[in-house]
Amino acid sequence: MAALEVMIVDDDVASRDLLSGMLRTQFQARISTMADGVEAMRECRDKSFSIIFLDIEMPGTDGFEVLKVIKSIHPNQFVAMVSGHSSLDYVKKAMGMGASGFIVKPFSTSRVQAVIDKYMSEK
Amino acid sequence: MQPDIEKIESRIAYLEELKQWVFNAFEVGQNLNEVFTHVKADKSDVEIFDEIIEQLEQLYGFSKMAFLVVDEEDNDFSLISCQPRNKQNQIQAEVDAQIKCGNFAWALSQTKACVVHSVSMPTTTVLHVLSTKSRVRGMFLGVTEKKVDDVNDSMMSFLTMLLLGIANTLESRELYRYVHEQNANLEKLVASRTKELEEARIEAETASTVKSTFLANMSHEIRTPLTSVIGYAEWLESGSIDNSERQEATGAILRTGRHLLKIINEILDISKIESQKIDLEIMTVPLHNMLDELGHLLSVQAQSKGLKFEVKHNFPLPRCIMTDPTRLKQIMLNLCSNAIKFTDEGEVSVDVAYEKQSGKIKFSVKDSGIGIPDESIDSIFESFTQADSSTTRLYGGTGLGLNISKRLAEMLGGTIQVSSVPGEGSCFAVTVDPGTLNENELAEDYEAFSIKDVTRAETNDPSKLASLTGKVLVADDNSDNQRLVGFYLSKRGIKVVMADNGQQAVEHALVDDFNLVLMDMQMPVVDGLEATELLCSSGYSAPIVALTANASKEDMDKCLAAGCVDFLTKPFDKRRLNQVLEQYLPLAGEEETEQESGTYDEEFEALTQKFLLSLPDKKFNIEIALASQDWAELKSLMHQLKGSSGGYGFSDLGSAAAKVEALIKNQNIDDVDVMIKDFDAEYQKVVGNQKRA
Repeated sequence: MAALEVMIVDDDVASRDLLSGMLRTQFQARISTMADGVEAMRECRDKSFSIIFLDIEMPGTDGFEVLKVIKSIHPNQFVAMVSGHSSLDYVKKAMGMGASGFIVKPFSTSRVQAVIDKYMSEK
Repeated sequence: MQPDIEKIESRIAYLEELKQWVFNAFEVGQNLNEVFTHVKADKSDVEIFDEIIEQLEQLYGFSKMAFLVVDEEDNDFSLISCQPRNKQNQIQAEVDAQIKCGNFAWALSQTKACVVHSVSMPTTTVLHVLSTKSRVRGMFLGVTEKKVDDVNDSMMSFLTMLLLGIANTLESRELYRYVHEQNANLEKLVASRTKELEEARIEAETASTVKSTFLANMSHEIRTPLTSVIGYAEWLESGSIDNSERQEATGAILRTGRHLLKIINEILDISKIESQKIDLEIMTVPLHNMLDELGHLLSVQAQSKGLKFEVKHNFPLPRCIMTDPTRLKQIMLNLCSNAIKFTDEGEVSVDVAYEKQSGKIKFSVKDSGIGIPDESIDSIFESFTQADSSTTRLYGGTGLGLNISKRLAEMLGGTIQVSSVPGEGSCFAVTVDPGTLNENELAEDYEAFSIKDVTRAETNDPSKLASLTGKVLVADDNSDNQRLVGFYLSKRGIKVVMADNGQQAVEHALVDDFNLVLMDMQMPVVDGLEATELLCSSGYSAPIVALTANASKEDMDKCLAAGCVDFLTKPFDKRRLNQVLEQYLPLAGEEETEQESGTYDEEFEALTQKFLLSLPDKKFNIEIALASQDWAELKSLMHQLKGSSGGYGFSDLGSAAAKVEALIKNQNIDDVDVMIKDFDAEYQKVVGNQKRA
């Protein structure tokens, strides 16, 4: 199985490190990390990823805006939203915009596992 | 010339004779015509042939005549009419002789008269077939004293003509009769259909009247307790009551509420039975276990009234029967509770017997209670009828139980019969079909009967079941249901988190780690279906089991389509609930799967160190934000900490941060200072531990 190509977009370095550590060690994924929504959109234009973990609460361009752009470039891109808020409105909005997963910080490995399983089953 | 004159004279005489005969023939023809024109529908074939023979006799002077007709069933010729009647045997003998010598068969193939020597007597026999173009109907036989050669050809041709006419007329008559018969049948059919329709109409009208009466009764039965619920609630609302009155009021509301619930459940049961929506779950039921359970339940009830309750076994009894245990218990509980209710002293017993002849199991519930008056014994199985309307006031009850029990008993292949002596007691005998029993396996005594094996004893007491572990999210807007499920689950050793609606369900589910989600489908804000869909589409992986009050196939399919793995119908069937719990939750004592401590590898350790090292920086930023009262910045910092701390195993710090964030979000700036102190304390714990480590 080819390694997962994952992009993590989060302005918080601790969160980024945590998730990338988890993905690298537990799921042998290849990771790109972005700290900024605009940067992530630029990266997406040229490259495709298996999964993008996209934080919602970011300064400037938030996760929803990034999601919108990514889905307009790659409608089939698998994007899992990451949020510090477990809010139904967020979940509804994200799913409505075409996100494929939603996990809430702090998350356990099993949540990440579930998202990856979902990606595998939809691939 | 003389001979010529003689010749001419004899010729004239002959012609005269012939002329006379022709006249006669005309007359006979006309008479025969008469015979047929005026044939009455009810005239039998024999009578008609008799009349024909009478006419032919006038014309032909046969000494013996007979008609034979073809029997449609065996194609045999049978004599229907003859003349003279007293010579029937001779005639029959001649017929048999002609058949034997082949003349009869020959005559059948001819369309004219066959004139032959009689076989059984010294005369001449005329055989003439009676046939139409379509089929042979019979045979005419005439015996004349004339010699064979003397039989006049023209007269025979005329006979041919007559017989052809007769045959055709007979056929027409038959067709006419057939048409007539068909008409009559049709009329009869229409009449019977009309009658059936009329009966159906009356039945439908009766049913509709019964329904209306039922509805009227029902609304009365529901209105009455509702009145007291509303009354007491208004009383409570008025506020001008003391504590004991309050207790009385809430007690009454609860009591009547439960009564109402019972009525509604029973009405639903009835309607399910009527629309044949009750599916029986036939399974092997250890009779001993069922009776035991019944005994436990009812002796408590009986004891509270100072009554004795006893199960009497009449051996031999089968150890296991095939039936629907839930429904059988429902019947037995209803009958026994009734018996206890209507008995003030003495005893209530259940006699169990296997009736070898009918092959049924019979449970006779006997009491020494008030009994049922003769005039009302027939109506007690009707809906909303108690023997006396005052009994409702005295003894409570919905008046639906017996109706349901009887119908259920019928569904289980039996019935309920009642006998009673007013003032002495009643006996309700339930029979059910126990399925095919092996006669050799009947238990002869209690010891053999009560051996425990076959099926695992079923118990509903959660504390007697294997202890489970894990965490379950229960989403139900009804707080009572929440409490009930919560109680039950916690008794089995399960941690329970409640959600009041779909929104909370989604939000809890995404934050906490659950082994199982029990999701009510009908909830305010966001219903269970939508919540389930959202969770599943967001990659939620814990199993979601639907709770639903409507158990239609359509609803089930909807639940499954939304992503539920299973469903439970409300009210809970404990057995099903246990099944689901045991399927998805680990047994206590097993390795807990959710704990991931000890799986950190070196890199993870390093990351944690990195996080810890970054903490002072974060703390510094927090101090700055606090000092400059930059609440937005503080909120964002706290938010980040909330999100990341838990992941590294510092959940207390995370929740302290979350509280600060919540305060700022809710504009409770004044309280932030207090909360920050908590946060600082948690922070010190984390950092302090680190320094010690």
